[in-house]
Amino acid sequence: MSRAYLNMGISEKIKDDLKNKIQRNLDRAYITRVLKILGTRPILSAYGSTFASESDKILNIASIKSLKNAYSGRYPVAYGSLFLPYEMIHALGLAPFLPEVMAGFTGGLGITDKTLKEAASKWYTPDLCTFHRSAAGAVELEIFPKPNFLLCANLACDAAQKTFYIDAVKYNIKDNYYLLEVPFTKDKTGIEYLANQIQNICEDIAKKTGKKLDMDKFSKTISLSNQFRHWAIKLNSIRKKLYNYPENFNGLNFILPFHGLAGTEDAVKVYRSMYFEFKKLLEVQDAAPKNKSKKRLLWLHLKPYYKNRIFNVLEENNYILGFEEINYVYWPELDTARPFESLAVKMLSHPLNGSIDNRICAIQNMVKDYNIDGAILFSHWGCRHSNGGARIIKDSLNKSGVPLLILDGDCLNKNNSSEGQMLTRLQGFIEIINSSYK
Amino acid sequence: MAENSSILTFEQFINEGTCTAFKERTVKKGQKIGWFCSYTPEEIITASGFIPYRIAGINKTKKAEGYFPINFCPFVKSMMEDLLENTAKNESFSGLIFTNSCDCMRRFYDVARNYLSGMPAFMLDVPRNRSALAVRQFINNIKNMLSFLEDISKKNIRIDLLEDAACLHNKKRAILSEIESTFISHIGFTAANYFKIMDYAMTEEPGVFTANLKKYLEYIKNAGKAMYCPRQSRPGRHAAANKYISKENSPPVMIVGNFIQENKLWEIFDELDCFIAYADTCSAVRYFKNITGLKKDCKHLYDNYALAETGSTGPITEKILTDIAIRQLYKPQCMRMADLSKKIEEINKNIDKYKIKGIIFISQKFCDNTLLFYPLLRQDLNILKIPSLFLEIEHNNLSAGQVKTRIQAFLEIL
Repeated sequence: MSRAYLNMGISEKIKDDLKNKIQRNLDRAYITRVLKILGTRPILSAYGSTFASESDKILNIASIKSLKNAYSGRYPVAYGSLFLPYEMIHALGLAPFLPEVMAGFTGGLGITDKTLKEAASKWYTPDLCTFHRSAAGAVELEIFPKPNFLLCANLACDAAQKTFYIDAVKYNIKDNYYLLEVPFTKDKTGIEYLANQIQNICEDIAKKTGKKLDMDKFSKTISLSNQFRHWAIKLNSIRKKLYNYPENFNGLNFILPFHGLAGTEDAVKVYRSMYFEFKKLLEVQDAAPKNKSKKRLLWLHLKPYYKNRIFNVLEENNYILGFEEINYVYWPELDTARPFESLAVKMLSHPLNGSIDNRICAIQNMVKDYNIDGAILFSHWGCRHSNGGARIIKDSLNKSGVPLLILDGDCLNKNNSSEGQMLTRLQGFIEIINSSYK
Repeated sequence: MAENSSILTFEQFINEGTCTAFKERTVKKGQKIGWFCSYTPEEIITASGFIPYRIAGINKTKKAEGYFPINFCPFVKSMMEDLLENTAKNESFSGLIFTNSCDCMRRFYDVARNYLSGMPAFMLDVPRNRSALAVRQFINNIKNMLSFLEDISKKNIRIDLLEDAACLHNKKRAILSEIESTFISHIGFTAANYFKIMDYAMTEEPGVFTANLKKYLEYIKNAGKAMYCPRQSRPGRHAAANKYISKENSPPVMIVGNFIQENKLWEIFDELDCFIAYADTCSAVRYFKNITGLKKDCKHLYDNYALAETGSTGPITEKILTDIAIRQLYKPQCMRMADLSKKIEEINKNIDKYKIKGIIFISQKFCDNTLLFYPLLRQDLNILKIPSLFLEIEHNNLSAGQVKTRIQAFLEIL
């Protein structure tokens, strides 16, 4: 047994073994079995204790619970694209499954080569976004749970609406495919149009699942969503001042609770626990103000989900992510008495909807609020939406004296990213920021 | 060149002076409104007193590269280059109408607003769903476009102007449909000529263009009578040019794609004697098919309202805008629309109608909407046992030799 192996933490060993087993048994039934075992209370508790921080533990437990539900066969499964108002899915009693987010897991599990190969054999060209190609490959390989409904929105991205439709054809459920059309501008007619669509879709799904639209459940879900929002805002306000995060914390890992679990107890729990954990850290920091020497970066878009050294390099150079664009609470408090309209407002408030001015305005707010020294836009291969606005974002931030690094790479396919090149550019960027402080 | 020398192309016909000459083809300041996507209702632009001019990316991308990432729609980059060049020559448009067609178009709108200072730009939000709800929303959005144009022109768009413009564009669409039938059935009518006509259709003043095209159609039907032959009995595209190729060698092919306006590419098709029986692209049928509603002979229906109507709001306007919205949403659809099965149905119907033997699918590089349609189309074509060729091209940067070889190989297997 090698020395490195002996030095490996137990938790890492367990996770790596699990990863290897899934890689060898790539099918839905095996994943269901693993999740069933992992999802039992004692195992989940033991698994949770392997995480270094409370926030990491709660995040992982909530993710496993959500996945277990989607694979269990006990609930109708709804595939959802990233920026849907998931409150509607929870209120309808469906188990959400986010193929794009789970494509990120394929990167972490090291199975992207297989999913991408499968997608290529089905005529998905390499010019397309790797998240959607990998998700399409996973659907074709029947790794993902079988969907009963597919809901997507045109918010921010063209690809999900197409891949979801192909999935609907594969499973012969074209009538259960819904596209929520988010108007380009947020105005009265746009809100009404979107709210009507949400209501019609909810009524249709309720009818198909043999249930009546339970408005009480909608009201409760909206209330939970407001609680989650409340804790997320409180957490973010602490992050405005915080320079030291819990071990292994990475704000870019919270897409699932932030979107997919909105409207659930789990999302409330994740953000409430994080708030208290971060509050303690702030108290420690306030007692030792010397920790404030770190430089703060704003991360735009997503990160590479395979093993990489980007965040180690940042840490080694005394940098932290002051904030991440994806954790920005962009919507107002929702009205429990008017769920459909509230959810429409939530979607229309998203900075990635409409013109780039909305995104820039949000970014400028984040720069100001989180005391940002520089920003990194991870330019994921194939994301026309985000990358198409890079030049405007760069120019806008330059005007405010905030340098932006556009880091070209691929969030999932490590073969399509040159780590050496990325790290060299990152080092250069760090030098520029450091020199401006001399 | 496969073109029959005894038939003048539309461009030659115009240049011979038998038609009302088009005004100078360069963009004059204050005359034109630029548009980009076939979902734009041109009649609204015409009613506002401007000439609708489709910006088709005629320039090779140079400066525009700096505004967009590498893996970004080459067509959008090229259109940006057109705008930069026009601005540099101080020949810019009075305004631009963008549509919410795709991610690249949305960012193009942002870039144009940020870097073409003073250029009024409007984003027309075109729904992806086809439903009563979507039509209502689209009517609202068209009304906003109308207000935008009224602001630029500083004029009210009167109901009669709107009605006349709608009739004018319907006439243009009708004659383009006739041209399409002639292209399919006429031996000497080349693909390069057909798509050049589309180029004129999308950029010239619609009244003058329609009158000219009508004359050209007459010319084709009379002067070219000897070569006119219905498709069912056509012996081959080059029979009249003494380059007889048997019918088996030119089986009907359908082109499916996005905005493919590459003269070099169409010349390749002509050189290879490829018989294009149907071209489902943004610059062909998706531009002119589906003429619905609004006809002059329905005018009496509106007479009761005529006196009450003073501006661009009122029941008649509502009726006209409804017609326009329905036409645009229910025309042969782009792959951006939600229900892709409807697109497959459309294609299948045309495969039957035109006895299609093979499909050539052509997409601009990085066009997510189109590229993500191909896996579905391919599945369907496999069931129908219709072979297909997948071509990804870069706007204004065609690898002619490679493309020619691939099309040639594909035609050989048909």
